[in-house]
Amino acid sequence: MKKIILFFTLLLLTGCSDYVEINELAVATGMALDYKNNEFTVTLQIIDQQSKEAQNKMILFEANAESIDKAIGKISKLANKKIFISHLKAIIISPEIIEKQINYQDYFIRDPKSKMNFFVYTTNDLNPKDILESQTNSEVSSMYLDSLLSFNEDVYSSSVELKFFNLLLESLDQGKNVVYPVITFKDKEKKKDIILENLITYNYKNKKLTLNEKESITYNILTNNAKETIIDINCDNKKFSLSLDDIKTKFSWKNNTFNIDTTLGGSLGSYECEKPLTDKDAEKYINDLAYKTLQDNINNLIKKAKENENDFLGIGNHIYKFDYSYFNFKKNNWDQKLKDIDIKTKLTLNIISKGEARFNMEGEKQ
Amino acid sequence: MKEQINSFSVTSLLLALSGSTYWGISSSYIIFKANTSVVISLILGFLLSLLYCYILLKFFSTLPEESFANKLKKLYGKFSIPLNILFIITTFLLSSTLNYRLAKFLSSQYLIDTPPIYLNTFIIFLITYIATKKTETLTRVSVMSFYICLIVFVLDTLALLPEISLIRLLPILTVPEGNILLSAFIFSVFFSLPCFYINIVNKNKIVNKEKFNKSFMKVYFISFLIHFIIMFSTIGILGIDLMNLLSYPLYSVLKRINVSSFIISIENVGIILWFLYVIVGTSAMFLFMINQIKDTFKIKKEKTLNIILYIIGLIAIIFPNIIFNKSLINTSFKMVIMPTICYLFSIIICLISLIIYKLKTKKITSQ
Repeated sequence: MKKIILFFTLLLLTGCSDYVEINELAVATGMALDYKNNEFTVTLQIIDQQSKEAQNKMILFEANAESIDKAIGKISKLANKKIFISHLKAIIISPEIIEKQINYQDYFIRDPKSKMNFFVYTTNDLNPKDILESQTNSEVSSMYLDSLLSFNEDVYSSSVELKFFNLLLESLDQGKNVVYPVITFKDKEKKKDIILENLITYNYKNKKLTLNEKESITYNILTNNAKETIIDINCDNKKFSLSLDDIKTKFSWKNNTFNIDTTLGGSLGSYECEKPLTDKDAEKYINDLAYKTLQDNINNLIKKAKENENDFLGIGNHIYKFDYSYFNFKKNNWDQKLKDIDIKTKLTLNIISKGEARFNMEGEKQ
Repeated sequence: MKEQINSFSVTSLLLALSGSTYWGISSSYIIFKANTSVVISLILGFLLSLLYCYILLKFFSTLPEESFANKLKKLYGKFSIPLNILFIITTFLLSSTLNYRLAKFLSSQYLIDTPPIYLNTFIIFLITYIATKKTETLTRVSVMSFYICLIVFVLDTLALLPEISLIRLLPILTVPEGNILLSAFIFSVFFSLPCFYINIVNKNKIVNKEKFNKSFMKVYFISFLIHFIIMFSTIGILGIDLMNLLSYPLYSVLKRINVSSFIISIENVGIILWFLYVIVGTSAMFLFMINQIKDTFKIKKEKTLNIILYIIGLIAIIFPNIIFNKSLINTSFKMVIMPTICYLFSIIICLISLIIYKLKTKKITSQ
């Protein structure tokens, strides 16, 4: 009996029928997606394993098809290798895909090899393929795109770190519109130097709303996406900058009023104002100005969301979670209802440091 | 020297038995039915399942020197033969369903071009081999897998902890009460009724049988806690809408493990829980089947029994491909309804047996 078992076991251990040698795999690190004339244009950035250089080069492959799956199949044929998307770092989708609500997510959900942890970017007026084309060596490949957002979140917070997994969560959430990070070239003519632009979002009518830098930073403050950021504050035709950290925002829904409670810690950066920092009331002066600027930024952003009928802040989502019966999110349109919501904001700002300098250079000259 | 079985080694089987149906079968169904209220359903289902545990423990203590088949023989006389055969059939259906589900999962996630029948063959050979080694070996495997499962579970949970967002569990009451109750019932059925297969052992064979009930409840509670935490953290990470969208949410959530951008892609280690649960659980079911055949048909030759077991194994490889046709809806229906009917059959028989036993003992004492 044991011999029979051993015989059958050996038969089962001969190898897997779908085994693929690593040399026969095309490891995709970046993908650009466009949709025109009812067809997807898929551009894949693939690691060139044949490259003899110390650092692998990247090769681009492009194919058009009615589905992403089919286009990837065509690329596989072109590359003569099986496409492997587990190591995908970033995908760049064209605005047309979002505006026309083309379902591109399905492919990444269904494919068991997809890890769903890659970054998602969109472009404003560029072909997404151009971004990938500008990065053919591994130093500025999709790995660069991967770190671009993480770095931004850590130091400036003018963009948002959108991973595919979070995109799915936000797309499925009630009362919240997805906010996309935009990627572009600093030098658009030469197609050089990739930079992050500000944020864009689309409402229920697929109307695009662009947030400027100030609004993008405020959005990140209100949604707890910002770890650190810097804001400029005007003072008597001059300005000072404030580096913000310890950012925490809490939403609450009480008595049909939506409350936004933000707490910020700050330290003074550059200071050009006429009021000397050595003055007794200098701290109050800075605090009041910073408070007013931040409060204005928050109020303006909420006003923009209401005016444009676009709940990108997730106010509706919070209400859905805590007061399920308040509004029928599945049958009615929340974006239109947003303007009727009474929103109150509360800001607590603690400026904890004026930096190393005791007074400003100009003050010393006077 | 004949090896001895203690209470813990038998009750460690409960972890695998109660959990074997959770992955890919009952969890998907209860999430679909109860949405975010699934947390309430789990608690209600657990409380409901305690009733079955009480019946099961009473039945287990009845005629402690007899095997399950002989217990039925003493209680039902001639009628015990069709009942024992029915138990063999229901056990076969359940074990086939569980093995096929695991094979389907492995085929869809890891070996996409490999047909499930190939993987099912491998799984069934393994469990048949364990079952031929009898209770002592099975309980040893079970104790080892108990500790492995606990360690893997704790590590998975700790790694996923930063990803959990409690707000994703809200709103809690979004479905009608009927759905919550149905979901609770299905959970209690799938969670508690496989524990019936502890009947592979006679109570008298356990060296410290006086501690059996206590050990049973301890492991049973640990098992519930594991299932509750798994569900709780999965909703807290994926949210209910994404969970409903994914075929294997309890597996997909493990893809979120990312410890300092260093420990990633360890979902394959995490999912070992499902593999161990099914292997140990269905091995117990195969052993139960062979014990039933042995006692019902009075087959004493070990070699004949082993051959029968391998024949059952071969049928179990072919059977799911006939019953679970390619229609997905039909498959899900069979995977939920069929085990429920099988399990309900076992609870009814246990209950009737207890009543008959009580009546018989009453009669004897009154005489």
